[in-house]
Amino acid sequence: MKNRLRVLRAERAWSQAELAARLGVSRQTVNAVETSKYDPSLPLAFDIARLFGRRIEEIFDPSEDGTTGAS
Amino acid sequence: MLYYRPVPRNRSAGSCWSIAQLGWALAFAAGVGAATFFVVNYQLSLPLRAAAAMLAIAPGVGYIVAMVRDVRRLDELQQRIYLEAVSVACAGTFLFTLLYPTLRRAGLAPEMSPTPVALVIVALASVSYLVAKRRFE
Repeated sequence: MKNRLRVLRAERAWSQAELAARLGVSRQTVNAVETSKYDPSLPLAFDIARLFGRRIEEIFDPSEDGTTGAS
Repeated sequence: MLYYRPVPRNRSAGSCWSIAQLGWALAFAAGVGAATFFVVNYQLSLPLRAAAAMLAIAPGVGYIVAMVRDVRRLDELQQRIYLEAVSVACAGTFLFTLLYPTLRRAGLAPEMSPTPVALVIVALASVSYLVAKRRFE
């Protein structure tokens, strides 16, 4: 699933490791979400949205599904 | 502001290996060595032979507990990768143990002790873990 996670992270000048630490996940997970290779679970998606102060729909875009490994 | 109930998640996104797991693995190996030593070198009564076997079984249980605890500490993607690796290892080992007698009767496999089965599990789990991990990089 396409998402704006990388853009939002860059706006705050966070590294993937920093974002991962804030979300309580591994850097690998952050990278996989950013590259659309993994769709986060609903709790993680809500945590991401809350962290960036956005709605989930503003971060994740299901209309262009480029996922290759989430299901 | 969206309202939702935060799901408690105390995962520290750790590794599937921990010092505790390694320690229990070493204790298990030492226990197997000690149990074998006592059983081979001493004429033990049944209760003592059972006690000797417990030298390996007890740390083995500790290893399993530590492993499960470490898996629970993984984040969702790490758990998914771990699940795929363990699935391949279990299925492959299951098929191997079923197929081995046939291969043995056909003369295509040598006589083996059960120890190589553990090595098959480790090898399958390691390879499938790397393959699954690579999919998400």
